[in-house]
Amino acid sequence: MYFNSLAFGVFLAVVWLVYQFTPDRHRWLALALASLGFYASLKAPLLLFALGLVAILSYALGHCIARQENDALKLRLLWVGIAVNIGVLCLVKYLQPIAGVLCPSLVPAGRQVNLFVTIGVSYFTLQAICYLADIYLGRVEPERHLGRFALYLGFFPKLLQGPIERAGDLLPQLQAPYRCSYENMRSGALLFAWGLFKKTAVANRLALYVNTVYGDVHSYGGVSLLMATYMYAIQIYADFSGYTDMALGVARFFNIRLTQNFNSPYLATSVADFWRRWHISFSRWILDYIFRPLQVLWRGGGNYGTAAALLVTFLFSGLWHGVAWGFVIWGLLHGTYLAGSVFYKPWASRIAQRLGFQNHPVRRVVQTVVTFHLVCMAWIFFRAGSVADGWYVLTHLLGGVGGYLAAAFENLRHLTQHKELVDPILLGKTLPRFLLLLASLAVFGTASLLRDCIRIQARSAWVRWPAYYLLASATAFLGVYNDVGFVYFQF
Amino acid sequence: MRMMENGARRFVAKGLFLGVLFYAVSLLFSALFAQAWDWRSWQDPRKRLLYEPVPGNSDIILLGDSIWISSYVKSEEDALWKVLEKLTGKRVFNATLNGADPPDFLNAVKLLPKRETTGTVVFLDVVPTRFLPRNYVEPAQGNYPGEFSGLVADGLIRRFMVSLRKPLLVFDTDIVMNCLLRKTYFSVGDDRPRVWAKDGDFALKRFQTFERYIVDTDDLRRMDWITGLKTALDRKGYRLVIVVTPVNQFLIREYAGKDKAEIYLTRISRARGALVRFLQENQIEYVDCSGEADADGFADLIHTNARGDEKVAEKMAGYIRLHRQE
Repeated sequence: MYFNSLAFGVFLAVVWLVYQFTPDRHRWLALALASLGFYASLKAPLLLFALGLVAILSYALGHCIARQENDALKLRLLWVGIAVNIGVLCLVKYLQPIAGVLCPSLVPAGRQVNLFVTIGVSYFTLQAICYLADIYLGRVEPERHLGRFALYLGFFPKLLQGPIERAGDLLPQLQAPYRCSYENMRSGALLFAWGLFKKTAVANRLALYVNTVYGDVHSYGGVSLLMATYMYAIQIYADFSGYTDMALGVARFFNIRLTQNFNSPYLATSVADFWRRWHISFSRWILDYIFRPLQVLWRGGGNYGTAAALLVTFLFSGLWHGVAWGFVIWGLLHGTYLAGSVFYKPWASRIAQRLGFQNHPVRRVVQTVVTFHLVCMAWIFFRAGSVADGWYVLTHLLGGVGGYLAAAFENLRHLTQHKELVDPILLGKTLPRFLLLLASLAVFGTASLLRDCIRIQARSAWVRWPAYYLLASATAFLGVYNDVGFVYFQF
Repeated sequence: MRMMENGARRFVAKGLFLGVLFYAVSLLFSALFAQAWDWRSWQDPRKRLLYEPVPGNSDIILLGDSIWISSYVKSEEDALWKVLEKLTGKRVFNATLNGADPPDFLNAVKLLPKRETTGTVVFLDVVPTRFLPRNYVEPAQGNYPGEFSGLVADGLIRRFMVSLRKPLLVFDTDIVMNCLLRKTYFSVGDDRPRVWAKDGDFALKRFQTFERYIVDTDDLRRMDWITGLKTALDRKGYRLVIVVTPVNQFLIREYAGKDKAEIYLTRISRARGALVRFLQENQIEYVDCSGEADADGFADLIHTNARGDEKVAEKMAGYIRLHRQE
């Protein structure tokens, strides 16, 4: 059941109505049953079993850790909890692909892994681990109510694609009595609508182009490969942040504020800054529970220890996304960027300070552009069908671009009459379709830039209602509704 | 059971009001658009099925794929449906779609109005190469899932949503974009009169793609979707007639090399024979146009040009005349 489906709309309306008429003390049950039903709609009993197992074991272990006074035993219990959750994650997510690689004869020929079977597991297992770790560190008390704890793990708006919520953030909200807030529902509906636009009109439309090129990279030259790579960077952001906005919007209908997962990531001035703005809940998780412990463990190595910790952390990040070399290379690339910055950043700052342009706006622009391109380079391997395809894209990215730009500049006034200049950009689609894509990107870019200035919700109805109409119309007109799916569902 | 709180009531009321207002305004804009613009004349005649309801008084309906969209003719007057109209004097509706597959044919049938009497013939083009196994997976939902999802639906709620969505022309991207940019649909770009042997390497490249995708096996793909289609059409009062369209054997002999050519021709002949047997066993009427087009009647391996279309149309018209006499 995708968020952008009719079935989900009906489901949400029914759940919300039932929630309104349910007595306060049973509201957790209404949401829990709804979440169960939502997960069950994926028709993968294994997932329900995995969620149930993780919920029961993590609940029990959480209480054991809290009650244990012996530090060594406490730590051991924590490791048991981590092992159980990682075990469930590996079993559900990685067993078949690993078996396929190590022992192909074990996996029936031609049988595809049902991607749906793994949806959500990556998220709730990490959430369970951070719950146990936070109890161990004394940050939170264990949740007494098993049902509420299960709801914390399986709350349906964030179940399939995050955000990965901390116990200290979400559990108090689930425990608090519900008082219907019109403002929350209004802002939730607007957030959901904006997320829907990003997903259908921007991400799905870009996917038509990206899939064409990345599905057959050897048939395309440098300009097309470059276009498709830039498009993918926008596609994955619009797709993932669109889903997150929809999830946050839906949660607000129930007075739940989930974690913001994105903060204009492509405006980052460094890769470290990028990771403070991209998939924030996940990057906080790997920072707190993998990087920091490793950094402390290897502090004797100084900068080398920190660099090693970063490499391991991002190797984990790559593997979390999937057992494929493309994801591993993507993770290692980011790890390398960050590990390298540990060494060069102090020098770069000192030089900039000496030359007097530490805070110069041009420096900031250059940093942003460089960071964006480093991230795009890593996205190549994330998206490509294989490492070989990714390598091909990387090594042919700039092929013929100089000549193309020169020819395009020369024929700027009559560009559309030159098929050889237009085709590499249109990527096999028609000019009207490309104009629709530009329209989607224009609406997306303009609304994103002006969102904070306009503050639509503070305006009068004469401004708000036409704006709502325009957003709904743009979504209906520009949206692509073929069953493309969400990119981050597969993780 | 508790009562709904004020905030919730307010939200529901406003939400419903906004929803109705949105729909009403969009419907108004769509009505104004339809009144002010002869939008149908701006649309692609090869996609008529997607924007025009199939007339209840059609005598012949053409169902099929790229083979019958007449890409390689000078103008619509030379298109297969127009030629067939001239030859038979009947009302012909073109319900073909470029790249359509069996799931799309089944969806197209859902758009046909129910007939009280069995009179209207539905011709479906089937080329024997369709049954040669290939090394890629065709989408299970066909090649037009998005388009058909806005036109046909199963289930009460979906049908209700489709009926709400249909009049909102202003949200149909293809319709609006076609009205903004006047397009030429015939004799433009690759879609122009062609003869395969006299037109550069267009047909050769296509044939090489065919060779890349075809699997080296004597097996044949399934044909039972044809009986499914017949059942669906019977229920609606239509008569299905399969037209076995010709394959350009001249091209195969020219481009494939002697040994490979024999293999391809044998397999295609076997596919054609299996198809005819299948149709006979399942009592499905057919018109065999296998040898109708000569060397100059093809644009590539399977697509005919105006010359080839005319030959096929004559054979189909012959079927119509024969059955009118019966």
